[in-house]
Amino acid sequence: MPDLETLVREVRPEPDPTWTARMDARAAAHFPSKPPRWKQALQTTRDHMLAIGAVATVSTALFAVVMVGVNYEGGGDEEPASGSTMSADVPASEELSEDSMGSSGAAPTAEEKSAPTRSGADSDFSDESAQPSTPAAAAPPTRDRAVISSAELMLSTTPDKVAGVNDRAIQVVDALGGYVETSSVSTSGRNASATLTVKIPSAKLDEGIARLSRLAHVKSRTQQAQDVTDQRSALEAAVRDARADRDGLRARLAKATTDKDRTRLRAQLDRATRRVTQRQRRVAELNHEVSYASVELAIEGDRRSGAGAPPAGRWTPGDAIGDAVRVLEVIAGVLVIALAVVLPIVVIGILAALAGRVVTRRRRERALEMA
Amino acid sequence: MDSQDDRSTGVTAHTATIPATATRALDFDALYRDARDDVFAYAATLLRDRGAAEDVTAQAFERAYKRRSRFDARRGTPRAWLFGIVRNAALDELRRRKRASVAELPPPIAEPAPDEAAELAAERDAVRTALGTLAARDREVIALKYHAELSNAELADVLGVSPTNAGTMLHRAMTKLREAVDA
Repeated sequence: MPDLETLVREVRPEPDPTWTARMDARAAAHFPSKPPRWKQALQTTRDHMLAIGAVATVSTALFAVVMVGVNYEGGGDEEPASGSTMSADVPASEELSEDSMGSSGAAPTAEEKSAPTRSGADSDFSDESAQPSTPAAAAPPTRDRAVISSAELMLSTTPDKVAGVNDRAIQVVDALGGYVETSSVSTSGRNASATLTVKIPSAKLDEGIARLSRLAHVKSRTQQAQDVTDQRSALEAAVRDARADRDGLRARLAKATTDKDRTRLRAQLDRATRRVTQRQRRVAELNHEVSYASVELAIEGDRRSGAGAPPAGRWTPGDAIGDAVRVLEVIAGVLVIALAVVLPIVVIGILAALAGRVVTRRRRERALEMA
Repeated sequence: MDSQDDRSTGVTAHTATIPATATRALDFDALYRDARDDVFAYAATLLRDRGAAEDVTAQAFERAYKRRSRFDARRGTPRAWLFGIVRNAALDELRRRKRASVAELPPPIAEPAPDEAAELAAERDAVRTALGTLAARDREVIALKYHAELSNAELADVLGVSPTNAGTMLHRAMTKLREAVDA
């Protein structure tokens, strides 16, 4: 009699030959099965990868062409090298101008604040005007209000571009009919900065601020407006009074009969003439302040890369490298954010998978116990 | 009777395309030819259902084929790896059935030889019946050892226990079987 182990081996269940044949056929065909839907979609995508790649390439090229066109469109000399420099810390000049005007209460328009009006006595003031000479003609004053405008603009660029931005700022001021009052560029080691005090025709202040803002990254920008209409009227009245006094003295001098009277009247006439001249000079100075807005421009070379426009307004290899670095920085930032989102999800997924495996294993063992 | 001689003759499966490193470690076609009938025998003994055993065997080989690149020779033999997959498939089938089958072990397809002694046939029937009365865990251990011809180390790998424990489990199961046969 064979032992128990041999008997156990002999009672081993054997498969049906028909099933065995089917099984062998499936094994020979590598167990074919219908792929899931997501795999079918993936396969379809893979089949059309060439076409998708071509479309993506053409789209990217078109997008790049359009973006380059937009960047250089209407930029003139002061158009920045990249769109990033347009992202100023302050709102656009037009908006800021409206805001500042609105907060002043007087709310003069650009025309109103540009220059004072000269009344009927304009010709009287001009003949004896003590107005200082300017490099360009001032804008014609408006008739309603006299407003003194001023602005402060702080630009930021790389240290090596400070001088270039400074030169281009002067070009902008010249092009607008303004002039440079003071200008200084200081360089020490890797640091560089420049400060300018420029005068821009009041009528072109907004345009000037906008063009200067495009030269580099704007760190801060402020504008002020002071209504001096009453002050100017008072000064003009004082001129008229002085002129009336002078004319009266001239009439009395013509009628004087004695040398003593003539000497006394001539002395009074000289003083009256000087008063007229002084008061006319004050009016002229005020008109000049109204006609030309003062802009304090500071250029700081404290940026690492990607700031400001190149000296000749061209997109140089250095700018390309700067833009590339900036793109890489953005990509790295996006990746870090994505990692911060994905990492906890992955950890939770791993823990859930481990827990699922443990639970499944226990359920299987339980099923074995119950069988 | 040598069970090894009965294993999967005439199989025409071709070598599948798998990574070179895995190819060196796992010849799936050879494994299939070597283990097809053993897998069926194990599943049939555990499930006590020929149809379910066929389904589980097919399902297990399909899973193994899909996961063949994940086989790591350092973690055990190909047979132990394969029977681990088969065991999971069989236990999943048990879970799906919710309740244990009360059917007896499936009889062999081939009829006894004409010259076989009636006494031997009766002993085989007694063993088959006794095996069917054992608990699933005991049946599983016996099937893995004597139907699938796994070594104790492979048995331990499949069951997730140490080789010593596997030997102990096998000894207990055989003792129970002997008692059931003698009863």
